[in-house]
Amino acid sequence: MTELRSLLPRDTLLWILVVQAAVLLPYALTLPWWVFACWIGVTYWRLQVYLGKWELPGNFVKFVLILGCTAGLILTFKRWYALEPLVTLLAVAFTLKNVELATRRDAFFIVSLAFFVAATHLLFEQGIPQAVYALGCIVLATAALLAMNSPASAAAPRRTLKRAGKMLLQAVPLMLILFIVLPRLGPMWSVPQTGGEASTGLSDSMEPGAFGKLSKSARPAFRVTFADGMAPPAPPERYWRALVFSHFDGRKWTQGHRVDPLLGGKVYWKSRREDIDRSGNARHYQVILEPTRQTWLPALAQPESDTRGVGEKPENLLAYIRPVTKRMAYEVVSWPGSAGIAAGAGLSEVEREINLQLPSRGNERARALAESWRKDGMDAHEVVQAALGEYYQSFVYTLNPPVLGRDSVDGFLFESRAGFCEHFAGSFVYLMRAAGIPARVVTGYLGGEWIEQQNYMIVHDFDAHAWAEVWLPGEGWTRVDPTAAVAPERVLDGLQNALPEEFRAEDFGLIEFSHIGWLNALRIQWDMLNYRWYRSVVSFDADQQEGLLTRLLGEVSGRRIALALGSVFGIALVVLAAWLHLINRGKPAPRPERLYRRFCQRLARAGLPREKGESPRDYALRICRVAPHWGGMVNSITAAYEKAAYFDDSTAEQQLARLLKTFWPASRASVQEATS
Amino acid sequence: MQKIIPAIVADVGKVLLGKEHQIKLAIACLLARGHLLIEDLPGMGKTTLAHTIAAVMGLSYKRVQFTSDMLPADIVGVSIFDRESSSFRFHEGPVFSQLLLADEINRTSPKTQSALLEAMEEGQVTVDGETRSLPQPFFVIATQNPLEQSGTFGLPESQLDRFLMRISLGYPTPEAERALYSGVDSRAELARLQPRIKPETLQKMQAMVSQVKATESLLDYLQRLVQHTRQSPDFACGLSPRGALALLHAARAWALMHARTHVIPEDIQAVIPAVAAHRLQSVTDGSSDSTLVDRLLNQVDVIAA
Repeated sequence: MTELRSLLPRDTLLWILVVQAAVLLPYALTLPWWVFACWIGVTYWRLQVYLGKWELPGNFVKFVLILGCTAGLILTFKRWYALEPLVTLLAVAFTLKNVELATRRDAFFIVSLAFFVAATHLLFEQGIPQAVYALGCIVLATAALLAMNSPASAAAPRRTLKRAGKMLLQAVPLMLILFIVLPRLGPMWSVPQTGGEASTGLSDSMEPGAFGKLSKSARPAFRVTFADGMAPPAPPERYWRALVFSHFDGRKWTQGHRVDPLLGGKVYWKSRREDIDRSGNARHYQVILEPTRQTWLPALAQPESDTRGVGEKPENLLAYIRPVTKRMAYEVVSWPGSAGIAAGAGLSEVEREINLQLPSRGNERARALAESWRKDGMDAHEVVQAALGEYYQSFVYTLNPPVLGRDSVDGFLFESRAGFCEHFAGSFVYLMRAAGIPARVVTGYLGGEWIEQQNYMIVHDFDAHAWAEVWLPGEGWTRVDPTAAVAPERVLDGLQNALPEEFRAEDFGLIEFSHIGWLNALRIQWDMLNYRWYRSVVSFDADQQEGLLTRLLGEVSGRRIALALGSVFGIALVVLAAWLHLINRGKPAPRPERLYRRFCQRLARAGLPREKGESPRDYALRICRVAPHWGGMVNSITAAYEKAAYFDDSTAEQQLARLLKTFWPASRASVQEATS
Repeated sequence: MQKIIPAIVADVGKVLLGKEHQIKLAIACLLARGHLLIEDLPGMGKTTLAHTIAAVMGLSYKRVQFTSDMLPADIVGVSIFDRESSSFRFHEGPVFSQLLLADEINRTSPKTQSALLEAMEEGQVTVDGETRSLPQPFFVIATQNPLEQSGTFGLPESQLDRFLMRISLGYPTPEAERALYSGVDSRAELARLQPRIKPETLQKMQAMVSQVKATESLLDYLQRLVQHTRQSPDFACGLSPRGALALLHAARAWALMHARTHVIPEDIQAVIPAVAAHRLQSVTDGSSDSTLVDRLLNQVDVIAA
């Protein structure tokens, strides 16, 4: 203890401050500004103490600091039970400790805390850059610990860092084993994040212009891997359904009355399976979704999922039990079915009513058009074809449609005639409903970039899309994509090729340059790396762990794990020992020494080992005393060895070898017999 | 040669009873052209040993009792104005002898100590700008009291290094002590001793020491020992190259005394406590120098791995 109470060596302080700065840096943008003001002030004070100009602050100053920071915390955060306030509290405590950093004990405390704070970065994001940074922080903190323990290394930062890196590298095997074997507990807390960041990806309502923003983002939305050997769906089949909108207020599509959008719609957790037509070859795949802060989960039509927390909504959609704030993976089985969605279940009156809902007034021209179709006696198929024919004839597909007025459907259909997917989908559903055909808007993603090398598909934000589903008697909900009537290449080749000029004009980052070969390759490589990282590291949960252990060990039992661990450690130790032996071997001993060693080994087996520092003569004397019957032989061998080794007598070496051939001492028992 | 040395050892043994190993070490030291430091309590026979060796070897012998008020001139000599020749005449100090017994060397001031030690190192003294050679062979046996005793100036490590060996005589065995009581008059014995060899023979024997051979295997062992003192955490500082050479030379002398043309590991093991103990320092003050050397011998393998 006295050692811990002793004063901190001078050079170590700088180490600690550097570690602190490195660990707090990622929070520079997320934590309140006053935390950093506080850190800078406190650090300045401590540096003045270091330079011998000031004294460490007294209790009064400390009290004021604590009071100020507590007030800051209370004023900044209204909700306490959330991640940010707790991390801020930690950062504040970590910062304030600087003013009483005097002894080695304090320094150890701060550096240990630094390890913890570095780990909290990963609560927010678990990407590769974050992990690499956290690792860097850990190397730095380890180096600081080294510097504290040996004053010599405090002054040689490069060597200390190298040493810390080496130590951590040595710990990697252990880390891997712990990673694989340690039981995965669910998150012990589920602290909500309060961050005011807007939700990304699809929003839970749709109005004209909603997709404009998304189509300008090249951020990956999710990635899909298909079960072994299963081909990805053809491009026109890559419709990833996420949300269904059935309520229209004249301008905005929402999820329909009776549905609380905050809860992500009504969810039937694993109960209403009867909606799914399980015929045909099911498609098994895993989706890794980027955080959306919403509950919807994209999937192909007719999905089922066994992943914990994933439920199925009546519109044949998947939803998560709470907003997706971290990357998550879920398994899906999608059935192609023989007809449209829910064909067998039929359409209840309530559902029919919901999907025919229209505002009582507004968009009169569109209403009139649809009614004219109905008056002409067209059936549902013909109405759909008529509407699509309208689009095909005179509409333009563009990312930058003109602004629409109050009657947005009329404005689009009869005036601007230029729009993006949501205009087409929204107006189409409007027309269908006006013509008395139940219809709904579906939003989600259309497309996906298939990465051949790694067998997965990446879907970007700009693949976001809206289309329609109409209820056709006997066929159920049938997908109709009015955009396809105008711009079929959007369905076949994606947005990039449907609108090459407009697409390139936007700020797309690397994907903009996908026509430049190597840059595109680089982008795909980076995405592949991220994908691998997520699949193998971040999403390694209890299920995956069990799967891996079963694959490795055959079955998961405590004994097998212990056995496997034991053998791994054993092999590692043997390899290490062999390596140490190899590097320490040096040049081999001369022949007389080797021969004499053999002689010693034989005597050792007989129970009379030579002591390390015992000289040949002393050894011979001792043996003559203990086992006189070997005396003659031992004496001549010793004499021969002495001559060979110390008198440069080359003939003695042969003599020694010859003598050794005849000398085979028996076991210890015979020694005792001989002496007793 | 093969008979002379046992005869010398036997002669000295007649006076100094039961101390054969120490006598042999002292003679090995003399043969190796080194100087000897005997550290022991008063009355253990230090002076007797020195005097007997001088008598048996036929060396001119002088003795200086060191005291705290002694000056360098008392050792080296002094120039005095001679009225008859009207010039300074140099009066040789006791250092001008073949065997000098420097009794209780740690009683005098460091200044006087260093005057003697310089003479030991150089084999010559310089007074008034004139360099005078000391007689050959020149052998110093210094004695010192254990440092815990009052009124002593301990020799610093650099000066301890000037002595090839440091030994202590220790109490005699019960038999030897009984013989001492029962009337063996060591003074009379000493007076009766005749020189066994001439100084020239001694010089020839000293030259022969350098001819004793050491094979690679032996040098390996020596190097392992030295390396161990430098690497083991037991030692504050390792053996210097000069210390290692001293060890080898002493082992050669020991081999010559045992009528061998080559050095064997036992020679090194025999002389190392005397040669190395005063050159090594323990990290912990707890263990004495000799146990330190014992540990060194136990930890280093005699046979190359």
